Parts: sequence; C-alpha cells; structure tokens
Amino acid sequence: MLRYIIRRLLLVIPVFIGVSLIAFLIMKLTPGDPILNVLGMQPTGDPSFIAAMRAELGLDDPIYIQYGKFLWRILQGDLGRSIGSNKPVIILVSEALPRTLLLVVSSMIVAIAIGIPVGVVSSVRQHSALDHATRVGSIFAASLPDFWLGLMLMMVFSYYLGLTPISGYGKPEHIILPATTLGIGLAGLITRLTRSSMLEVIRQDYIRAAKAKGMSERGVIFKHALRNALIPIVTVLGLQFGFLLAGAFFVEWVFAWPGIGRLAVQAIQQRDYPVVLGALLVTSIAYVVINIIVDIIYAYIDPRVQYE
Amino acid sequence: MTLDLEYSEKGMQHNHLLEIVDLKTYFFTKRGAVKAVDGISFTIDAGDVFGLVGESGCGKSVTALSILRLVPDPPGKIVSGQVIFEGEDLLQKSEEEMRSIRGAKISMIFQDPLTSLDPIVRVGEQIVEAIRTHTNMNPQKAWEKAVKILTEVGIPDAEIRAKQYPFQLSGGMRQRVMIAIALVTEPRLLIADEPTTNLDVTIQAQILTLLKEIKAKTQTSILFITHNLGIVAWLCNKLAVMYAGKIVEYGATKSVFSNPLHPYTTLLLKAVPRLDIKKEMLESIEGDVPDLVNPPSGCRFHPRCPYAKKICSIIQPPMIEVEEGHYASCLIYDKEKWRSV
Repeated sequence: MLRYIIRRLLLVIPVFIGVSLIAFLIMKLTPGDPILNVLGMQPTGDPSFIAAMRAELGLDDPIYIQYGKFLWRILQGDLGRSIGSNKPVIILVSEALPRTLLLVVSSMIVAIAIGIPVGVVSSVRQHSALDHATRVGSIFAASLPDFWLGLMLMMVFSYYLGLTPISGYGKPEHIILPATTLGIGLAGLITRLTRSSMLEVIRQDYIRAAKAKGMSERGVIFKHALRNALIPIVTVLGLQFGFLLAGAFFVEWVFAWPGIGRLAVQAIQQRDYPVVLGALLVTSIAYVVINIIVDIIYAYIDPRVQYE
Repeated sequence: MTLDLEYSEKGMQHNHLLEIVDLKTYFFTKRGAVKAVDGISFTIDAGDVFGLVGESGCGKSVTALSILRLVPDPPGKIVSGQVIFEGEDLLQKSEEEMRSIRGAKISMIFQDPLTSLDPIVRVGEQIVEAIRTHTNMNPQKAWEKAVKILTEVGIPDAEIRAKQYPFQLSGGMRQRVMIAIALVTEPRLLIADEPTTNLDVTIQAQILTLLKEIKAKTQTSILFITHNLGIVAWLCNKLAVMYAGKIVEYGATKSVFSNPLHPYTTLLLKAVPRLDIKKEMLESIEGDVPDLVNPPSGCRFHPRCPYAKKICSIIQPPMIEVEEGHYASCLIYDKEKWRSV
C-alpha cells in the first residue's frame, strides 16, 4: 500500500509540469499587457519606466526562458509575487486553498448527510410516494444553478429571516449558506446514485442469503446492502471533489468567500499571471492528492481492490 | 384424495418435521398471475433427505423460498396453503417470529456460492454473523466456532481462510463456506437449492459427499432441490417430481426409480444419458415447458404426454396412491375414469 501511495505521489510531477506549461501558454497567448493593466490601461507612463518594469518582471525574455525560470523558481517553492498586490503568491494561495477545501468538505458533508439517508429510504421503499417525491426532488436539486440558489438562500435566510450572515468569511456561521448552496446540487446527485446503487445491491443473492440467516431488514441494509452500495458512491464523491474545487468559485463569488476560485478569477481579470498560475498549480496538485486519498478509501471499503 | 387427508387418516400422532399442504405461490405480473407453485403438498420427516426434482422454471426454488417466506414481494405472494414446521404453520407467523426460524431452525444454501456471499465481508465474519443473529455468544467465541465449523466442512487452514474474502476462495471452498454458515446454528432442516449446479463435476462430487457426511453425523434433514436425477438417486431417500408448478409423482427414491409411475417421470428417466446403453441420440421430451400464466387445462403435462387422452385436458388428475407411499397424479391410475372415455 505504501509503495502504491509513493508511486501515485510521483504522478504529481508530470501533472505539475503539464499544468504549469498549459497554464503558462494560455496566459501568454491571451491578448492584453500586464504592465498596462497594472498602470491602468493607458500607455501614458514613461516608456523607459515601462521597459524597466518589463525587464524586472522578466516579461521581455523569450517565452521558453520565462517558462524555464518560472519552473525553476516554483521548484524552489517560490511562486513569485502578485503583479497586483505585490504579495508573495505562495502566501495568497496557501491562505485561499484551505478556505476552499473547508467549503468543499462542508458541502460534501451536507450532500452526504442528505443524499445517503434519503437515497437509502427511497430504495427500500421503492415506488412509495416518498420515493417518487425523492426522485423528482433530487433531479430538481441537481438542476439548480449554484449562483441562483446562492442568491435565493441569501435573500431568504439572511435578508428576510436574518438567520445567517449575508456573505464574508471569518465566523463559523459564514460557512452555512455557501456550503448548503454547493451541497444541495451534489445531494441531489448522491441521492439518485444511492438509490440506484442500493436497488442494484438489494437484488443480489447475498442479500437474500443474509435474510435467510434470519437477519433483520435493518441489519441486512446497513451491514450488507449499504456497504456494497457505497462503492460506486465513493468513486463519484471523489470525482465530484475535484469538480467542486473548480466549481466552488461561483459560490465563492456570490458569498465573497475568499477561496482559491475567487482568487483565480480576480487574478485572471487583472491578468495577474503569477497568481493565476499559482492558483491553477495548487488546485491541480490538490486534485491529484485528493484522488489518491479517494483510492485509499476505496481499497478500505472494497477489499477486492488490490494496490500493487 | 389429497396428501394431507391421507396423513390425517393414518393418525395425527405421526409428527412430520415439515408438512407442506396445498401451497400456492403466484407472481403477479402485468401479463397476469404466474402460478409458479400451484397447490403442492409433501412431507419431510426427521432424518429425510428429500429430493425435489424438475426442469428449470417448474417452481422448485419458489417452493424453497416460500418455506422461508423469502419470496420477493412484490411481485410474488404466497396465495394459500400451509407450511407446517414442527407442528406450527409458518405462514401464520409474524415476520419477527420468522426471523428467529430462518438461519436457526431452517437454513438455506443457494445455487451460486460466489454471489451468495457478501463480496466485501470476510468469510469468517459472515459465519459469526449467522451465529450472533441467533445467540448472544461473544465475538471471540463466535469466531472460534466459525473457524471450527470451517474445518469441519473440510476447509484446510481454516484460521487463515476465515480472514479472507470470498474472491480469494475457490468455487468449491465458497460453497463449503455457505454450508458452514447454514450448519453452524445446527438447524433442523437444511434447504439446498441446486448447491452444485455451478460447480465443476469433481467439486460437485466433493460437496455432495460432504452433504452425505453431514447427513450421517447430524440430526439435520435436507430438502435437496435439483434437476439432476443421478444426484437424487445417490443422495435422497424420498423425492417429489415437479412439473409446471405441481407435484406429479412422489414417493421413496427406490420405488420411483424402479417403478416410475407418471409419464413425465418415465420420460425424465429416459432422458438421463447412460454409459451402459449405446445410443445415437440423447432422449428428450417433445414440446416446451408450459406458460404458467395460462397453464394447460386438466393435467398440465397432457400436451407433451404420449399417453394423453381427451379426458386429460378436462380433468385435473388427483394424487393417487398407486403403491404404498408412492403417489402419482395421472388418470391412468384412476381405472374407472381412464376406461370410461
């Protein structure tokens, strides 16, 4: 298992090179001049000053030199400084990433806490009124756009009811609305998946065999059915984690949650290349690491999976 | 003359382990009710190995599931009848009472040992579960008992095997685990639903030998469901032949094999390939298994029966005791009616 983890971690290297290269090239191919952006869009400044700034930031080197320098610096742990705020990028992303992870993990907890119990009940009582309501409700939940749902929740719970802060970051209650917004769509997906996975498992011979042992329905469902049904659910949760890392930015934007998505979008708007690259790099590495964690959990719940 | 009447005439003091009386289990589908089991009766006594024989889809497995009340509902439903086990009708019991019988007094092993074991639970744990569902034995003791029974059913290195998962075991070993799970609670009745169908012939022989040993060593009676007449002849002392949801012949294995009464049984026995008789072609029975939504009128076998007369499509033949303890449901044995047409 340890060898497997090490091998998977080595995979971070090509991912890192690939992501940095692609991100770097996209940034370079995008029209717009970062110096002019910083100076306010008008080439009014002293041309020699602009040239000096260009040289200082390494923007007049050939592209491959710029990339080589960039890669070399990163390997030393230096992601450069933000063009906009002049703060070290490593500080900006290492502040923002945990906030996004917190948001994503909280929303997954919301999704799991709703999706799995509702899905299980729905499958056990297939074709009941509750089951029909669940099927309609889960499609509805999964179809709601995050930014719209976020604004609606904000309007109802913050503006009218005054139960939660409108937006921002800092206090524990700040997480409630963004996590709910992000979690509800996923809850719809997890509900449907749990339901169909459970229905599949309930038909298996070993469920009948467990009943033939004299186990109670509850015992059969929790000890055998749900554990087996969780296998595909964990796979999807792992994949969704990655999508949420990227997709959280709508919600971060709506609720002014200072996460990595918001940081990246702001940086793209300002053509703040170092920050954009730093955010992309950190996000993709987080993605790879999370997938490794998912694989380990996978091996834990399904002994047939062998990592050698 | 139905079976239960026959027995009540002989006197109620004869206590059967299991007595099935006019059991009907239907599956309600959009096409109509599939009469999978349509009024069958038979008895199993302590010490019996009872063979229930028939083609695929004749209702053998549904009979087994009906005894344990595990017929999938919907669409299946036990419509009427009695399943009297140790003097009590299981069909009148609450679900909770049934749970204390399933796996404790009546155990079942299934056709496919790979799909009947939970793939992600250690096999030892699955045996422990069977023990602890019915007793308060502590986990440590239950585990020891699980290892012990694995050894008893012929699994070498049982301590190591108990910690493994089903996919790490061979097909034969998995079926031995299933048997261990079924027997660990020392049930009065073991229902074996085609337990060797999906196994290699050599493994089949091992498993059957194991069942025979169990028979000799324990008090457990066995209801053995199969389509293989050879196995029945070797293992069972009594048998019933099922056709299209009904029992057509019933009696001691010896009498049925030496003197098959029902035309279907006769044809079945002819269809068994034999090495000692040289033949160009395998024998088969003309026609198809009938549709159980609209079964043939009268005797269900009449469309395929070489002896059928017009009356066979009109009258449903009763069970007739042709020789002592040997019954057949065929009008040939009702001399009056048979001659009258």
